[in-house]
Amino acid sequence: MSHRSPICCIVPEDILCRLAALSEHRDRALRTLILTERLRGRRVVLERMAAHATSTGQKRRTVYDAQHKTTLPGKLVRSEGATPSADVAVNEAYDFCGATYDFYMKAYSRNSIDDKGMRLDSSVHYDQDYDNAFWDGQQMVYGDGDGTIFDRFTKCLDVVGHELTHGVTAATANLDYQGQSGALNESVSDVFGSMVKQMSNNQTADQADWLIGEGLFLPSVNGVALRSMKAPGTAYDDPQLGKDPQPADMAHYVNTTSDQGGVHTNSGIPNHAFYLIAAELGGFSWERAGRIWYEALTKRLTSSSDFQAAADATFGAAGDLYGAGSTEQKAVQNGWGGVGIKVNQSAASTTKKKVVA
Amino acid sequence: MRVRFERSGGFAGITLGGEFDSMNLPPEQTAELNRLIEESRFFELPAVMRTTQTGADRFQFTVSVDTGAQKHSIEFDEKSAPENLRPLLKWLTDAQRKTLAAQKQRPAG
Repeated sequence: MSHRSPICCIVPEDILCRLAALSEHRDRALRTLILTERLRGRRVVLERMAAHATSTGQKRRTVYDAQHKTTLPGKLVRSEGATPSADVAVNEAYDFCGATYDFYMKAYSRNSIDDKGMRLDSSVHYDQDYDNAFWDGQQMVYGDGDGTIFDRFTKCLDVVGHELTHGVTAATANLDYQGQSGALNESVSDVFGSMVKQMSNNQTADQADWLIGEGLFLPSVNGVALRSMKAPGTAYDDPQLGKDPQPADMAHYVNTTSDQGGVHTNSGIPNHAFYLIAAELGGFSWERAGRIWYEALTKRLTSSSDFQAAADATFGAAGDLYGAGSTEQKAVQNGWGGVGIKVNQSAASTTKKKVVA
Repeated sequence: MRVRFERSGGFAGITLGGEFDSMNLPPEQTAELNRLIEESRFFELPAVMRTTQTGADRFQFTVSVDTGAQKHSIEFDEKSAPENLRPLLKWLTDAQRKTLAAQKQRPAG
């Protein structure tokens, strides 16, 4: 594959895998299908590039209906400023995406995912009985749930905030999605997703529930949410699903090869550190604890950062923002200490990245 | 025939997994499972299929099939799953959900 065009380089990693899976002399039909898909991908990318090129610095949302298929983005059903749809999932994706955009703008003057007004694309009704939401590297995607365990994934504001934040992380620290950097990536999405909900509810740290995906489980499940930042490991305990496996500290770190090395499990550790810091500082979490996390994410963390690096980076960021030895910096030190990570103060002073143009 | 299945990851991070043994399945389900395995060309698939594309919260899968005569395991992420494997994945996912639901109905003990 030495002659890929620039556009094809964006599109076809999965297709390359499928091609690699084919033996030389069979399945011509499938091969044709793949090529057709590649052409369709090229057209989609061109359309998207055109949309991004007209960036105005305003909030711009588009919602697509995947119509229970897996081809993205699907049919355009609502764009910025259009009247609400009769479809509740479409309106939730639109409204919650708007609340997340507003959160980043209001709290950190960030203009969308890339800070350049990138259009926010979401697809709803992805696949059949699809019990998931994800960030595909370019857009947010939501399933309708399976009807027995999970409700539709657009239902929760923090889930939408979580997915959009994956875009922000990709545009900044770009944390590798495996092991500790992957768990950190997941945690950053939970942290900002929770704060989007807190701002929308006008809640201080002591008023917030610190739950992720509250209301996503259908009534048959014994659980309040998918994760708890305040008390990791306590969000659910159900005969079908088992018990929430999240650890709250390093002593209970889970070594596993599943889920990219437990990225959705060990995220409980930095999640809880953030909660402890926000609780110690009090007030609105996005004002100080969130500001420190945002500073670390955008200026100090790198793709390979682990939990120790995050502790050092947030400690350094707190020092920059509020001064060495400040209440805020002490809270950061205490919060990480509470999950079994000791801030390395000399490393903290050297983690600062050069500002990216 | 034995089929082992695990789905991890996703936003929820809840692992779904189990084993299906044709000894314990009704004949029509065994026939259906056999058909889906054949149509997926399971035994010709590479052992590992991963994309390097960016993204987050997608599912990760491992599937192993042992027919007695043939044995093969594959691990892959959702995005790299070939189209002809998807019906088998859907069958395994649905069957696993049904098993869990049935377990819940059963009285504890």
